[in-house]
This record gives sequence, C-alpha cells and structure tokens, in this order.
Amino acid sequence: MDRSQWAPPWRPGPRLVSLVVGGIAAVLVFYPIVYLIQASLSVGDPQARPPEAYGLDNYAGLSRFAQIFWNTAIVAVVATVFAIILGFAMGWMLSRANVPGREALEQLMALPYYVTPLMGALAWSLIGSPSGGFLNQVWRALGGEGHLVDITTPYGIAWVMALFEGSVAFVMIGAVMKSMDPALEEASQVLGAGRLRTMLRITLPLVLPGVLGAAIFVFAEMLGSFSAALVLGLPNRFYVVTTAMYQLVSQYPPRFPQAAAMGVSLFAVMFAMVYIYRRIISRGSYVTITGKAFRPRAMDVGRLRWILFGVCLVYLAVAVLLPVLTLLYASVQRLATAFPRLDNFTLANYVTALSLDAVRSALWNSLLLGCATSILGVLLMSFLSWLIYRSRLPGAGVIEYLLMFPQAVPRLVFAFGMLWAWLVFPIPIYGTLWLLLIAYLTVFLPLGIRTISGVILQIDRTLEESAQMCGAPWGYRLRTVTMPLLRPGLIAAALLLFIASVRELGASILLMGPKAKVITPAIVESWFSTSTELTAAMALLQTLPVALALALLFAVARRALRPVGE
Amino acid sequence: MTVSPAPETRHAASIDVKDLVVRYGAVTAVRGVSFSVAAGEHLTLLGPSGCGKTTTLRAIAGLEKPTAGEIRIDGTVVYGAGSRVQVPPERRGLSMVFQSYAIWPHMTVFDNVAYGLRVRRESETAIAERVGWALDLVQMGELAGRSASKLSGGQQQRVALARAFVFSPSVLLFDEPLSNLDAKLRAEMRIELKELQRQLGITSVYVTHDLEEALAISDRIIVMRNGVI
Repeated sequence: MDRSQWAPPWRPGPRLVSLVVGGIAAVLVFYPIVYLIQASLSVGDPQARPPEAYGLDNYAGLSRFAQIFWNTAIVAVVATVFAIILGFAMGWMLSRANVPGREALEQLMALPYYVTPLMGALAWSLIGSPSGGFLNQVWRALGGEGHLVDITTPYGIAWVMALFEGSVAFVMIGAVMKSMDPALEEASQVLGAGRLRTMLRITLPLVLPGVLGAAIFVFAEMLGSFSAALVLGLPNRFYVVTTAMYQLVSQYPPRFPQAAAMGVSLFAVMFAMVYIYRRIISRGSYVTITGKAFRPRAMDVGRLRWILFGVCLVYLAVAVLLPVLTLLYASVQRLATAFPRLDNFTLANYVTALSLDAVRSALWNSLLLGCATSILGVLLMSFLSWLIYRSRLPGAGVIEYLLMFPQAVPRLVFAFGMLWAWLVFPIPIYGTLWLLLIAYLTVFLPLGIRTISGVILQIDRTLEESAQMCGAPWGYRLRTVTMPLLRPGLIAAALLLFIASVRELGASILLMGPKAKVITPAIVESWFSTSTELTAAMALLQTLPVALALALLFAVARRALRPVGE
Repeated sequence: MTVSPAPETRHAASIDVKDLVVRYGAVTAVRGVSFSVAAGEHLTLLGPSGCGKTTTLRAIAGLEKPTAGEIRIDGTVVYGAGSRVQVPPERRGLSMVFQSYAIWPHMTVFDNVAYGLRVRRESETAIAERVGWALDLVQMGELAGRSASKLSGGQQQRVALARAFVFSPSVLLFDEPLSNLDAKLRAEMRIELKELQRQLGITSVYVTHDLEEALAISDRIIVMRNGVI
C-alpha cells in the first residue's frame, strides 16, 4: 500500500486551532474580569493606574451603600415574582389549553423581549410619571386628586422590568410545559381527578424544576438590569447597584474602586445564581427526558379559552402596543400631552433628530457596529459551537463553560472591567468603535452560541460522519455539509446579534468615546438633557432597523423550524 | 437502461481486528473482540441491540476511538493502542452506509453521490460518468436531479448505498442499513445488496440483528453478545 496516503496519526490541525480559539476566548472573557477585581482592591489614589496599594477597604465601605443593595433586592424580587407569574400563566395557556390562535400568539409572545426595558421605561414614564404622565393627566382632568399611578417607585420599575422579562420567562416555562407528555395528565383525569386537582398534583410538580430554573435565571437578569432603573429611578435619586455604579463612574471625580467593589459583589451573587440555575437544569426535570415521540395535545377548557385569549392580548397590548404607540404619539407632538390638539402635532422632532450630527453619526455607528458584530459574531460563534458540540476535542466542556461565562456578569460590570483593561492596552482602541465591537462580541457570546448550538444539535451527527466516510477532511466537511445545513440557523443568529447590538446600553454607555457615540446611550442622554419629544423620535428611529431585522428573523425562523432531513 | 461495466476498482482489502476494547467512561461496550475478514469476503456481525456490534463497526471506520487493541486494514495499522496510531476515518479508504442513511437534505441525489468523488478531485466528466453508473446500479438513474429531501425511505437507502461505493472504497461497512425499511422492501433490498456485492467484489462488514438477513447476505457470520464474540 502507498505509504504516503497514511499521514502520521491525528494531524495537529484541529487541535491546535481549538487551543488557539479557546485561548482567545479566555482572554476576551477573563482579561476584563481580572482588571475589575484589581480595581476593586485599589486603596490608594482612586485615579492611579495601576493601583498604588491593595486592600479590602472598598468592600468594607460597601456597608454605606446598604440602602442601594436593599433597593436592588426589592426591585429584583418583585419583578421576578411578577415575571414568573406572567410567564407561567402564558406558558400554561399557550401550551396546555386550546386557546384560539395559539401558534400565532406564541410567536408574538417573543415581541416584548424585543421592545426592551429601555423603550418600555421611556414609554411608561410618559404614561405614568406622577406629574406629567398621560394617565395622571387624564385622572386629574376627570377630577382626581394628585396622581393615580407613580411609575417612578420601586414597584413601578419592577413592573416595567417584569413586563419585558415576562417574555423570557414565558419562553423558558413554555418549553418545559411542551416537553411534558400529556398522557401524564390524562392518566390522572382517567383515574377520576378533576382538572384543578390534576393541575395541582400532576402538572405543577412535574414542571416545578423548570419553573424554578426560569425563576433563578430571571432573577439573575433582574439583578444586573440597568435601563429601567436608570430612566425611572435616577430623577428620584433611587439607585440600584448598576445605576449606582454608573453614577460613581460618571461623576466627577469618578470613584472607580468603589464602583468596582460593587460590581464584584453583584457579579458574585449573579454568578452563584447562574451556577444554581445550571445545576437545576443539568439535573433535568423528569419531564423532559422521555425521548418518546408524542403529540402535544391541548386540554379543552371550553368558554374559558376566550377569556385566556383576551388575557394574552392584554399582555401584548400593555407590553408592546402601548409603549410603541405612546412613543409614536409623543414623537409627533410639540409638547407631549394626553389631550391631542391639532396645532400641537408636528414632524419637527424627526427633522431635528435627523439633522443633528450627533444623532446621525450615533445612528450610523450603531448600524455599522450591528452589521460588524453580526457578521464577525456568526463566523466566530458558529466555529466555537462546532468546536464545543461536534469536534469531540478534549476540553470542549471547559471551553463551553468559559464562553458562557459572560452570562453571569451584568453587561455594565463587564464593561467596567473592559474600561480598565483596555485603557492600559498598548494599541489605542479606547474610545473608538473597535472597543465596542470587542465588547459586543464578548458579551453576546452566550446569546450567539446558544442560538447556533441549538441548530447544530438538531442536525443528526451521521450527516457529518458520512461525509467523513466519503473521505472529506474536516475543513471540506465544514464547508460542504455542516455550514449549508446550518444556514437558516446562522442567519437567525446574525439577525439576533444585529438587534442585540443596535440596542445595547449597559456596555455601550461606559465604553463609547465622545467621538464615537452609538444610538442607545445617545437616547438616554437626550432623555436627561433635551426634550422628551425628541427622545421619543430618536427611540423610534432606532426601532426602525430593529423592526426590519425582526421581521426578517420571524420569516427565517419559520423556515428554520422545518425539520431537516425529512 | 444498460448498466455499463464497473470502472476499474481498487483492490479489495482485508481487515484484522485484535483484542479490541471500547470503553465509554464506566461502560465497556466492546470487551476484547478479535476477528479477521479476508479480502473480498462478506462478513456479518450478528447480535441483539446493545451487544457492541455497531461500536465495533464504528471503531473499524474510525468514528469511535477504541480503548485498547489493534485494527489493521490491508496489513496497515489504522489503530494501535501500543503504537498510539489513530488514522482519521477520512484517510482509511473505506466507506459506510448508516442506519439513518444520513442523506444530505440540502443537496440533490446527484450531488450526494458525487460527494466522495469531488473530495477526491475527480474531473467533472469522470464524476458524471461514475455517478451515472452508480445510480443505475441502484436503479435511481432517473432521479439524479431530484432534491434529496424529497425521497422515500427506500430511495434514500439506495442513494446512501450508491454514495458509499461510487468512489471504489476498499471496504464497505453497513450499519443495519435495512432496519428502517418495511418488511417487503427489506426482502427486495436484501437481494439487490447481494447482487451488488457480487458485482463490486469488495470486502464488506455488515451489522444486523436479523438472522435471516445475515444468512442471505454474508459468507460468514460472527455472533456477538455483551461485547464479546
């Protein structure tokens, strides 16, 4: 036999590549964290870099901020409870009850997530701020005293956050409910248990681990959330940890070490939460692992289904339609008021927004970054997903853990670490779009990898193995078999990354330079320093490309959902 | 349609498996299996599900990394625990038909079959000729342009078969290729497979849990149970 055909065992190619990629990922993820921790230990001159002296004083000093930690806990707990109730109710309705049009509704339930807490907070501030809120204007016009609702209270902030995170809770809990074999419920009914008894004794215990997992995940998200608390809390000097950190960093003189210490403590709590979450789902609820094919059937709930249908519509109206319409309404007025007057309408806000260089360049920068993040992100993340889930390399599990790490770090905290880290970086990228690009690619690693790996795992492994048996080396296989099969999933991931980066706030607000602004922080700045109406116009201008990408996403997702290989 | 004679084929190869052990964590799927297949012989590994026969086959293919033992193809060591040799599947020069067929849904029938030839950088005219020959042999000539996602189970099976032998591998491995077909089709395909093996004259290792199938197709049968012969 021709010896040249048999090269030495295992070319180093794939192994070396994965080592290099894993290494780069580790640097991206851990480099900022190291600097965050270093900053939190600095006890000398707060402006000095690197720190003059190390100590734990900043952590000891955190007791002065007890009120802020308490605020954070209250807001996060209330918002989580509310979001989980929302998600559980919607999840049950749309997967277990025969609500009319539930397939369409299920798709629409994802919308609130895309509206984002920032848009929601701006809109709800217009609706429910104690003095000028539309709802309170109407209340006073009807002869009421004071105000009917106050959205700037902790409960108001929690309400806004829950409305939008409810959609996430719905997706997580709905998936658990769907994976439950209806026969388990039917068996209970056949044995004579009523519907309520079945629900309490069978359904609830079976989905409980999934619900608990969702609750912890949502709670971690709430702890790290930023925008709603910023928009609604800042005017009242109501701070949560993230907004307090932002305040400490952006005030003069900035107090970096205290902010870093706060960030590290928040990160520690969130990390614990995400760890518990992963423990819960890795143990798996008993429901999901039957592996047997069954047809998800819905329970007939009779007349009640129309009521449930109405509940879903109300949720969508409050979380999607109302905020968008409110902003639209405010953006075409000279002075936003609840009572429309013909001479008050104007398009001047849009004209102003589009003629301001600052807004134009911010919008352009965001679109540019969105495209760059989605293209580079998909290339990078699909390669990483393939490495983790398909290459069977030793250490793939470690790489996965590493890449999912940013999920446990609030974006603002992460950005803070990057701020320090890249200031000392020899190549001057601080204050440029490059820094933001790196930040986006890092913080969206979990989002991208989860999306892409979901598609990868759907594709039967033998499809790749048979290419291997045909003699195709790994690069050739990747190009001819793996990539084409993944295409719909990859397009969906690209669109998701685009949407996520165009609307990113927590990391951008700290990292953008004065000469390279992006749109979301610009909207927040405008909210605090210029007119409400102009801000509303800017928010809608930002929504336009996002909505376009979203429409595309829904079209692609429907195609991507078609089973492959049939 | 007339079937042209087979283009020049590579010679059939022999296989030697010695003391093969495959372990996944705590589970030992194959515990010390040894057998040889002579060049041109048709061997069947027969046994109940979970007895380690598919794992043995995948180890020969190179898709599974054994824990111990040695595998030689045509005298060349492709896996050796002692010599730390592990030749990747794509360079072992063999081919395989999967239980799930693993037909790529995003390609046409023609492209599926042509894949192994394109990997080997054959000219397009040679590819057209070889693929035409292979598809005729499995009676799928008319469907060459069809999208592979629009095939029935039996048709997919034939395409998988054509794809596996079109590039004249020295060994063909079959992983329960007929188990997903209905009884009537299975009986038909059994006869066709037998005929194909005769025409191609290459070495084959066939895995099944169906005794009748094993008797119909092979020169020799090895029965496996609990990871041993």
